[in-house]
Amino acid sequence: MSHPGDLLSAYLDGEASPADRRLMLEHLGGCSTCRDGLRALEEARDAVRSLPMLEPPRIGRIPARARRPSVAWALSGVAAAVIALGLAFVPDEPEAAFDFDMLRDQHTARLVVDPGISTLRGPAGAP
Amino acid sequence: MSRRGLTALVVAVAVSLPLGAAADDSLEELMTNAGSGEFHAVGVVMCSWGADSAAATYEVERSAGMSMVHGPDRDLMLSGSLVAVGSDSGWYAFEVAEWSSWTLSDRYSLGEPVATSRLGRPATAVTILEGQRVRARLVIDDESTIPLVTEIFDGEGRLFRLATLVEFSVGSRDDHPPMPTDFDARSVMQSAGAAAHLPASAAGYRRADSYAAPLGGVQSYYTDGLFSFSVFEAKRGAIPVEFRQATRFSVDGGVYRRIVSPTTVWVHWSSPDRSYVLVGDLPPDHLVAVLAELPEPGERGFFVRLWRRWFD
Repeated sequence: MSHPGDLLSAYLDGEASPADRRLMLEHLGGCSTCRDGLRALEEARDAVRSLPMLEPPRIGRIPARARRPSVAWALSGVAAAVIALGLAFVPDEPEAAFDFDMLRDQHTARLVVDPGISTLRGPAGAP
Repeated sequence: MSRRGLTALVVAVAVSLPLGAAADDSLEELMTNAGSGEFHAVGVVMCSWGADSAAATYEVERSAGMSMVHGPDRDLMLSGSLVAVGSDSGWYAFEVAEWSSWTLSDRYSLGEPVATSRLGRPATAVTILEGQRVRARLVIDDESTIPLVTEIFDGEGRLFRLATLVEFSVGSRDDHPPMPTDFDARSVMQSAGAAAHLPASAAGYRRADSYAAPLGGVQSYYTDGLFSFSVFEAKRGAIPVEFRQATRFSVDGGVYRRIVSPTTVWVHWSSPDRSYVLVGDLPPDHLVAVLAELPEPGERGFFVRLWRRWFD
């Protein structure tokens, strides 16, 4: 049997099949290189497992309830949009404050103190 | 002015000046005389302005320095600076407290007079020129110097307003209706500060006077001595109901609304801050030139509208 390569890790983790296990044991009995490799893998695994367990930091985590807008926020947005659109598209304030009869009379009153073509001045009408 | 006086004026004009032009003082004298004399007349005045047209009949009685005009919807009594308006609800009066002196623009001159007749009376036809363009043509009664026919032309030389007397007699009638002496209301038009948004002159018209207008507005009166108009301004508001079906037209991209009466044109527009109404007897081409120099129409921007709604 040639050197088992990846089969070492499977053997070490107990995941090798019974046939592979048997072949691996026969090979390890006659191959010092693979025995040294297996020993290095065991030491590395033990070193990793001996490290303390740490809690992941909370920084950057989004609270679950903030990821979804609340009903209150949604209603506020809709209300603001309605007000803005209403203000923009509702007709202007009440119509301009013009009394056309008064405007006609005031214009005529000023007009007639100047000389002019008298026959045109009579029947000025209001709209 | 007597017939002899008018003839002398015509001769003086014809002899002393090149053909087609006359001194401004001759035109000033003609216009001043057109407003004096005693007569009774019935006339028709009509105006055609693009697709709009209007016409009316009226009766004029002038005696003792007063004029009484009976129009289709109201009566007017003119006496000096007093204008009394009669309607079904009675008489009310306007009086101008003060006004600036009349001056005639130097852009007008008298053309060559031509002897003619009208209503069986000796008359003289004269043209009023604006540069080389005929702006008006008058047929003047030789005896009274009253215009029997008045034609006003637009910038293309088309007749757009015509006033013609169909009955005319010199002197006052004995049976004329009494003129009112008491009024239900009498308003004195007080001078006001000039409207800040309006120019001192526009297209050859100078702002002669400003008066306080109804409902807190300001009236700015412009004249070139021959034609005149008033601009009334007020806080911006929606289009008055009278103008909602009015003819729309544009000047330099700005949109205006127009109503034509026999003797005047009414124009409405709004700038972002103010609403305006112009009323006057100026010709169409003058109106376009004037509007181009007055505050232009405009809509409020979105945020300006919001701001005005909340804080104005």
